[in-house]
Amino acid sequence: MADLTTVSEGEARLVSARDLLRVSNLRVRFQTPHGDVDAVRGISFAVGREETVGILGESGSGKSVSVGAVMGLLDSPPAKIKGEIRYGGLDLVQAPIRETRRIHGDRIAMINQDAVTSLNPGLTVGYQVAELFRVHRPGTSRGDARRKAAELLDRVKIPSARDRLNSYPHEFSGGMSQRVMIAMAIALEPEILIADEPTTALDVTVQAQIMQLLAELREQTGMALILITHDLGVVAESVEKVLVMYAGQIVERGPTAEIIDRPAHPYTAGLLASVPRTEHKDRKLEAIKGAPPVMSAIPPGCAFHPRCGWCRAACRKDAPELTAIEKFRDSACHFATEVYRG
Amino acid sequence: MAAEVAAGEERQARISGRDLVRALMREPMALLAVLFLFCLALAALFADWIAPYDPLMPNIFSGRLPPLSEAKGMTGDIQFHILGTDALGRDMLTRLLYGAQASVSVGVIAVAASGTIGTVLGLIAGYYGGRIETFIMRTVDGVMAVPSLLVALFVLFLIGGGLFNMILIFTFVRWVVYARLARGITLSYRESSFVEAARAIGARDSRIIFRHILPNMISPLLVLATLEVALLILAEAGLSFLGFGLQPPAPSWGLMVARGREYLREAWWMITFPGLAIFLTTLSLNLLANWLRTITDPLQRWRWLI
Amino acid sequence: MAKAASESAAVGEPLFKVENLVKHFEVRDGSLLGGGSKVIRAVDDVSFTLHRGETLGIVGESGCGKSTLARVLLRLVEPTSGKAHLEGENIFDLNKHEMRLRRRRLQIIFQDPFASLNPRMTVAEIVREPWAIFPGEVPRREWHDRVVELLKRVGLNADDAHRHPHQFSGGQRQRIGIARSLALNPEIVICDEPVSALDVSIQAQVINLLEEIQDEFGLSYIFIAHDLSIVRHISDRVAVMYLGKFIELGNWRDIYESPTHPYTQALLSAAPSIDAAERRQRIILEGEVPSPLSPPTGCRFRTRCHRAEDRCASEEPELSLRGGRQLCACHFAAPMPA
Repeated sequence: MADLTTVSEGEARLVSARDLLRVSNLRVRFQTPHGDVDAVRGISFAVGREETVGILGESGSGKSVSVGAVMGLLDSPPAKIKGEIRYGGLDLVQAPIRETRRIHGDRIAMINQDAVTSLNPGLTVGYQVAELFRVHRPGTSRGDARRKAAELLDRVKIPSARDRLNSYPHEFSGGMSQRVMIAMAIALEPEILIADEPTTALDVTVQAQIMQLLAELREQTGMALILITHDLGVVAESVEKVLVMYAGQIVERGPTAEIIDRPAHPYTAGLLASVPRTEHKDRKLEAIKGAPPVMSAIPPGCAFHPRCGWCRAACRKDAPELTAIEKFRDSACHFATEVYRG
Repeated sequence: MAAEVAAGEERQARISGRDLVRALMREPMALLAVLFLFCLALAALFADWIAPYDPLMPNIFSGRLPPLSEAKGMTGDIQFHILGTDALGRDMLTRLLYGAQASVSVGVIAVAASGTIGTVLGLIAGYYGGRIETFIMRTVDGVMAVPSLLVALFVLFLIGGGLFNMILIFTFVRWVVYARLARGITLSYRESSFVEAARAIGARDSRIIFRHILPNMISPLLVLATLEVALLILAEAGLSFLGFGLQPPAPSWGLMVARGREYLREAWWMITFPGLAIFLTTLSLNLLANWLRTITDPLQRWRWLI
Repeated sequence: MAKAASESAAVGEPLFKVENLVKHFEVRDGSLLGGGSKVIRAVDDVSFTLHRGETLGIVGESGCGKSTLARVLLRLVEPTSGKAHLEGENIFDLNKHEMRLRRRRLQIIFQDPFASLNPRMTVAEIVREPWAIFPGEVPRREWHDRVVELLKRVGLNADDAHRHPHQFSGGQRQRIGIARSLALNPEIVICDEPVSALDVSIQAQVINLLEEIQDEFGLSYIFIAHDLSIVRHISDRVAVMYLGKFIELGNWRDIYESPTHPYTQALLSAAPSIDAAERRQRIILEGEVPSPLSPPTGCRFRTRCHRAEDRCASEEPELSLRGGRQLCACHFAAPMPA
């Protein structure tokens, strides 16, 4: 690992022997009829065994595209992927599909926001769960696969699981469908579970159920979790570590509690300040001005500078690197220390 | 995820005139089709000026001359027949040009009439629902259930052929396709937020229908109408061929094919050129429709055409 | 009386009084052999009073009927029964023409900033459409200036008038929608999830704008949302809705700081928060909201309620004062144990 010399202190900790997944300088470019669009612009991060990592960002921040690249979900073309996604001894960007197939959906599994449409409406839920074993574990008998499917539905707390095997997806509510998706994701005992906005489409009370279920399953299996979300509250309550993404780059990262307590990037600080709190009831909310850039027109220099209160001449010209400001804390801002000190 | 990006871009794809021309340049087949149709429209409009000779006057000196022949006209002048002449010695090119006039006017007028009637009824059915909708849509089902060419044949047999009668009967059998399309789209927009917003600011039904819903279905209607013009031009040719459409000596592509068939062996050009005209016109219209369909909101609107 | 207590925080005189509002939708049974029709009780006996200048927040999960309530109050959907007095005049009694004229007093801001603007119209056409509908409201020669004025007020530029909605971001489109709703100088604006489709960093901007124009134009808001912290921020009073009914209604502080209905308590505890101090003992509800086609007998929440007893199945609790300062519809209303 010669490239270790160039990474920051925070990253050095992340890139350790315990790492399951290591993403280095990942870039994703989409070729569209209107020109090329850079969705992910050089991000690096690592996920260790049993770790929980949140990727926080708004629409267009590149958070979903990043994990799409990790999961091999991006069609090429139009996507052009550069960089390295290392899992085990394998670079998932370069490896041939017959090798990555053993990883995706098996060692690294994913659930997404739209559970209801992720299930095939024409097949029973039981068939779809059992199919996983028959595809990824050839040799599993039909009966075994079905028995395992029932166990799984039971594990994700679907009531009377055995009977529900014969149900079709439309007979399941949004929350129940998400449970089925989770059952399918954990079926092959993955080491990493990627959850892309798993509760965004759900109601608050159902969201609480699903997040609790995920936490319990993690405790039982020890799998690592990568949680993609735009919701600060969800991040605050369910992951140890967080990467904040803006315009295709990581702008801040570190332990969740510390970042929420003391953000070191003006964007993170702005997000936190814009959340309505009881004690600020009679005050105006502190909104971030402007809107996130569209991927096809990312501002030069620091991508956040048009919306930033700290913006100086340097910010319009030079893009700040992600650098350590303290142990385990990185920020990509020319004034990171000042923001951090408040 | 790529779709996500594409969708974002797509939303911006509102088409200006200049974009349209640029897009056309990238699509050679569509460009050729548009050029052909443009020439055809000009030919039909200005047949009186462009056509070299009289379309109806027979000429005993010049029957069945092959293309690129010269012959003496009835008044003694020398006539050049670039596409040859028919059995009665009339210039093929002239008759093709006047035939275009017949085909284009049947196609365009009948489509305009049936399109207007069908769209308005479809809008009303979709917007108001209830009994009005049931009445309109059951009528549509009824008209759709009978084979339209057979009906046309039968009615034309009763009331006699001719341009006007054909347009009348085509309008009567084809308004239903627009009614279905318009109703389907109206249903999808009736509950949309921008229609609710219009209602919330006090807009009357007529305003909502014509100002808010109708403009949003122009592109799919245009695609449908283009295909319908092709269909009606074929139908006109077919009916005329069978003797129920335009009556001789009126110039019509269908009639020309019918007459040319008798001389298939001796005079290939008599059937080939009108046949080619029909083929190229309908092909161009279909190409144009396909291109329009992809260019105007590929994500949304085309699905109403299935 | 009961009402007076819960509405003590109200700002001005009563403006809009809704009584026993009911909206049932009939749905055909799926069966081929005729079958019966079933009734969805989307809004079932809702009563409240909106005061001049106040914001009434309505929270609830999807399917609770809050969006239907908004549409019925505007008569975009006709009510099944009930009354809605706008300063003494029941708007449900008005004929189509009379209702059209009252619309200028009641406006709505929609959730989806993409779907709520006609893609074929320019911003100017959208904002000034109300004046085309009500001639005499604003003389035609003033249209341009007034459009520009409104656009500037909501934070857009004069040049934006000639652009189309697709050229704007979600937040900007929501501003266009706000400008349109202000064009007729309404008194009441119903905000139906106005920020839930927006990015987090944009939500605060729009909330601030809504608060500013409320003061400037003297608006009263009915603010419908599922985001609890936003409703807390903007509302004077808050109603919690569950399966078509208000189950708790009162001053925002009473609802948020000492809720007495078990559903309100569960809902508040379930919302993830960035403030460690705000995190409460989480109450995880069992199951999901029952279908409004066949709501439980008695209290509609009883199937998921940890306090439920036999009485809850037979006797439906009224929304009334039960020990706290707010109205609550629970036989066993009680603050949460500390």
